[in-house]
Amino acid sequence: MICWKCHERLSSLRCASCGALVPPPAQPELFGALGLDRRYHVEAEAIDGAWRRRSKDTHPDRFAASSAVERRMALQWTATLNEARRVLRDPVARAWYLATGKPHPAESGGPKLSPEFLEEIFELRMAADDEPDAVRDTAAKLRARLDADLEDLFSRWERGEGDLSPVPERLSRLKYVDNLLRELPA
Amino acid sequence: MAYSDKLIEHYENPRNMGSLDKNAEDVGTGLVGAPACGDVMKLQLKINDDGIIEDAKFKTFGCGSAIASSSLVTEMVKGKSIDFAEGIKNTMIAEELALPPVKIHCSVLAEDAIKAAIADYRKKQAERAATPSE
Ligand code: FES
Ligand SMILES: [Zn+2]
Repeated sequence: MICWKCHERLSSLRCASCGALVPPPAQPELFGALGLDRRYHVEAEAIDGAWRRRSKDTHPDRFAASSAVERRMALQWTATLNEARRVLRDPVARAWYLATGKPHPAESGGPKLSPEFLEEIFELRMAADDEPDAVRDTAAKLRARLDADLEDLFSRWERGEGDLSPVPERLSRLKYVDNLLRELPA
Repeated sequence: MAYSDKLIEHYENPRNMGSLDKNAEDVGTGLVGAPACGDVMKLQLKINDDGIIEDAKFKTFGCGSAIASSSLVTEMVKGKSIDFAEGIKNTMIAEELALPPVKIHCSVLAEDAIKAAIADYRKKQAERAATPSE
């Protein structure tokens, strides 16, 4: 990348030679915004580190004496970087984002779940008050299986095998299971 | 967030909570989920041969708005025709209960549940028509 102001080669979001900021993308890709590869397997520390580095370059305080345009760009970068960090740090949001481009399920529509699955969730919720321990046990097993499934799908995708099309259905199930677990009496 | 009196009323005193015999020929059962939050709702309709809804029951594991939506919708359809029930839109429910935008999906759940219950009833009727009576 080349600086838009002085045409110097760039190694970060801020030009080392003239201090100009790279214009923030209108539709930022969240991994790209942090300078990270699109991967499911990424450590929280790596995300924090990338966020810290880039935030330093784009911090609005550094542009207090700059033009209004550059000050606005700095603010926009800050918002984008914060959003990227917030979404990518959460494994479920990260998985949704990689599979669908959105960090959360759609309001309606979305993958069709089998009637048997909804039935199972409904029955578990019916039983939640009377046998919370048994329900927690079953739900934990459901969750472990979904986790293993997702782990497998993403690992293969990162090796260049298969695609992420089965992911939304798994994540959708996960939502019901997590919701069930959250509603269980303590 | 301020909720409407009507919503609070239905939430605190839900009408038609419970269940009907899901194996009965004249009962249609709809079981649906909200993908955005992971809540589930079961709604059942008892429908007579004239296509009139004689009874409606629900059980909802969800937020207050979902409970109020299912309570309201069961009240709306009781004594009415299947056609009327099929015409119910979530926007009618949302408006009636004055749901805030973030709670619209809860009323969608109620609309989906009614539609699913009717579809189940129709399937049963078609199966009954297809099996020769003994
Ligand atoms: S929040 Fe889930 S149905 Fe209302
Ligand atoms: Zn420059």
